Amino acid sequence: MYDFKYQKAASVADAAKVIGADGEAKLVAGGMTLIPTLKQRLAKPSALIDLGGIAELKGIRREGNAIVIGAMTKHVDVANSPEVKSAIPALAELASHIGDPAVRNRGTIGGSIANNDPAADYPSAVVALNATVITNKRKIAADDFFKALFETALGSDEIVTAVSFPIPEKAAYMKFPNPASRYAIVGTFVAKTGGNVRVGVTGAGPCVFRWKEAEAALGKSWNGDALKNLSVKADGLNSDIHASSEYRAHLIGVMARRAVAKAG
Amino acid sequence: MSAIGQPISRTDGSLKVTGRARYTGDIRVSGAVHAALVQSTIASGRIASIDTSAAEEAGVLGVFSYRNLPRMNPTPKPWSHLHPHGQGYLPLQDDKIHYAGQPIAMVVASKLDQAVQAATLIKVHYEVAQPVVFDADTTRAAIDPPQFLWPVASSVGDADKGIAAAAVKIAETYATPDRHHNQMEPHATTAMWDADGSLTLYDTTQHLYGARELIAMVLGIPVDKITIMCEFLGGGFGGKAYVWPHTLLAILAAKAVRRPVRLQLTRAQMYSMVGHQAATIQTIALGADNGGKLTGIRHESISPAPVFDNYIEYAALSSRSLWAASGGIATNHKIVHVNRNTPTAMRSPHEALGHFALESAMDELAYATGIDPIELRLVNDTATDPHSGRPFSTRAMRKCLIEGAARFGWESRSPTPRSMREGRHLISEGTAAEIYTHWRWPAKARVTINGDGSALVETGSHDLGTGTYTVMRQVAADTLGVAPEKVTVRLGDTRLPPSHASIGSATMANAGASVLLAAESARDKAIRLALTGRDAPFTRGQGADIRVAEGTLTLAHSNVSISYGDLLARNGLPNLVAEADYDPVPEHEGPKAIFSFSAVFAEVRVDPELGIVRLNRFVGAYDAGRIINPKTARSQAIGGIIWGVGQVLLEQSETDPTLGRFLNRNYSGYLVPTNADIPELDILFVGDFDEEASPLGAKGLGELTAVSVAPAIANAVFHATGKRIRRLPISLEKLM
Repeated sequence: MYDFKYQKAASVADAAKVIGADGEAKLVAGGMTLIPTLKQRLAKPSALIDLGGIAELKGIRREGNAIVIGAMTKHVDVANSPEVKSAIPALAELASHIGDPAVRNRGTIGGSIANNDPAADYPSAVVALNATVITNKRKIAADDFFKALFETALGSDEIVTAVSFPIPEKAAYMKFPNPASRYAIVGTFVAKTGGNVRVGVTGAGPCVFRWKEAEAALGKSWNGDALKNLSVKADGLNSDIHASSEYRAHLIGVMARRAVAKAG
Repeated sequence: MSAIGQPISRTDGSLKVTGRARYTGDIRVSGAVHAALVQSTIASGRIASIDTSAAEEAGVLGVFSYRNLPRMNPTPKPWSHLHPHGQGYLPLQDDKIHYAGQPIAMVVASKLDQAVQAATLIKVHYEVAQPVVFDADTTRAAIDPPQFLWPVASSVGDADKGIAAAAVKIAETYATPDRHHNQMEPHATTAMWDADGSLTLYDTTQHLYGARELIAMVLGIPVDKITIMCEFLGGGFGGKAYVWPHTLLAILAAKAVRRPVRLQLTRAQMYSMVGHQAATIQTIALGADNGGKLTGIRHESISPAPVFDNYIEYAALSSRSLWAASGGIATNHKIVHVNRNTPTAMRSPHEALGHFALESAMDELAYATGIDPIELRLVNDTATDPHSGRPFSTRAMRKCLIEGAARFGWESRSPTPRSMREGRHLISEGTAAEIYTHWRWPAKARVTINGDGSALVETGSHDLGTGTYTVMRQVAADTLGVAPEKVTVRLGDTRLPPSHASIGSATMANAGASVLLAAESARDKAIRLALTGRDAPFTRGQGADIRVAEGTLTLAHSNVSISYGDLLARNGLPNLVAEADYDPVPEHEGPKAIFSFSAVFAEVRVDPELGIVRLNRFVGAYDAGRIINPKTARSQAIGGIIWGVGQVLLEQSETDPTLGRFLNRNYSGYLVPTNADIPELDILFVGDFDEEASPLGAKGLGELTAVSVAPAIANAVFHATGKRIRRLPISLEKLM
């Protein structure tokens, strides 16, 4: 690690002010990606602004027909939340399988989506549930939030404060985990909300994406068999020592069919 | 009650679970300082310039490169199991780069962090050459290597003629990947010099005396000035039998800085600083008649070796002796020189690679002839070693196959591929047989009977985590006629009577024999004393009728007895000491061919949508001669099966084809089985006392158990899916 300054932000406004003024400063939420990155000297921020002390960023509440989760809410708290478990059990289940217990007890939903790791679990749920990402400046639709590999729509002094998930009629997440890290080699989140079907795919490409052919097919018939004749092209998908792009393309279909079966 | 044959728990179990067992890296030496390595980032070329000035100014004790490290003597050649082995290219001796991760500089500092930090300040510029890697192109230029363990080629009869005339033929190519040992315990050395020029080492080694001899030769130190200790090893698997460059570097650094130096490899460094298992590409041709009887076997293997050493993976070795073939058997090995560090033995070297090919091919033959795989093996069983023409000392292959199959429930198997299902999973069963080399090596031991009735066993053997302390105690306890708790065992120190390397599953049969003979000698001394010593309780002529049990010598059919303690006290002796020198003729010079055998059976389930293979259950039937401790033996078998599951389904050291370096240098990239991958394992021992193998009747076991897990599971995968995977590991995508 290189030397850096550390500051615990008192409020979102306070944190935004610091990163607005210092382009080299970085926000730290759970630090589950950032701290290893620093240890490997892959980043050299001037300062770390810790969001951990800001009470307004924590907590889960129901707002009408949505579940709103504060950005600094840990994965373990989403997994164990009675509100999430009763309203969107698929989301609680997704959170319960992120990484390992250490990661789930430190990592946060805001940190995960702001980082936009191509193999992170949450982005698939944000996209499939058509969630709204709430920041200190605006509300961003899921489809507009995730841009590219580790890139989001967030501006330089913009901070995720919460994510609002509409409650679906049916939803399920299936992932094929990396055997060591439990990151998604491929994770597919299927959801039917207000009659609309959305399918979010993570792990497979450089950034989470929607499998629109599957959405159309499932819109006509909510049944795994509706996907039997669909396939995803391997071109442009991730390929590494754990899985080739062809295998990932194949996994998208299998995980989607199994997710639909699981959602019932 | 006899201790031998009892499932006694490890005597060192509580030391290990409470953290009191002293592993090399944990031993603190007063005043010890730390070494950190700089490794080459290229795989071939030379160091054009190396700037160590910033590191030297960082408050460290020493910075070393080829420019200032003392020169060493060449390593001895050729290697053998009884003589020292070490990588032929020695560290920091010249500006050449022969492999990625080659050590090129070393920093020594008071604190490890300081050494690691200073090592990052060393600037190296290279002249880069294109590395040679092992691939389809370079294997075309494979050469015939000189012999180092067994003869490189063999031919009995005329294999090709036998195959050509056969009714049924199989000819296929099989491949196994590079693999790394990945012991839990990293390699570590702490080196200390005394003022009189004597050297003491704590070293992670499974070959104390080989290490001592090699270090003496390479560094020009008299053998009697070197002491090496290794009380416990956290896994060896063959990877700690050679002397690797870090040990030599720690010794030279300690001399230069005049302080004890500790050097422990990181996990990533263990991929290039120490050996690995080299890949193989094997071709097999089998010929058989319509009844499945083999008429010929040809088995050839090509493996990579470094540009400076001629290491051979003897993958075709197994085909020399496993099955009879009426026409003949021919084997051969070739190597390709590549930019790599030196490979080494990795459980189970040679055999576990060759059996994957041979026993997969036998399964292919079973399908080609329509003969049940068990029946096919029974048909080709032989009481005579086809290679040497000698009878086998013992060969319970038939028992392994029949009793193993019965335990497994083989008869209910439906032979057609894809014919057994359970929900969305395909269920299947596969089998394979195996043969494993038995070694007869010399070993010495000393046994002392103390005045309090306790006994001490001393031998320079090793405990790799296998239970050597426990089984040696059992052997001595039974022989001396004392309770096991009365026996203390000391291992792992070159000041003890010399023993052989703990490799090749040889420790029980050979080091164990030396303990048996030393204990017999100590007991006989006590008997003589009881016959002829002061106030002797027995009279001459009664020697043959004296029995020892519970620490007491008793004349048969009488109530005359004396305890060891009373006997020693009566004679004014503090103890009785006896040494033994077990010096058997080498196996290949003996009248019988000695091998261990087994048959193993796997049931797997395959998720056909994902290509995931899971082991449902596994039965292993083993002929390893007499079993000294069924509990530690079972643990060995469990470990071997798990090791084989890694080989067949998960393990693969990936090489960057352009840069020539290993890529997945950690446990997250290099996968090994976890508890969740392993079901209940059922172990049977079906062997009998083998007097040719050892005075203890034991044959080799540890390596045997990892030999044919891969073909058994690969054969089961074929049975499940109809896909024959001939290139390990059977990763998910290969079944798509």
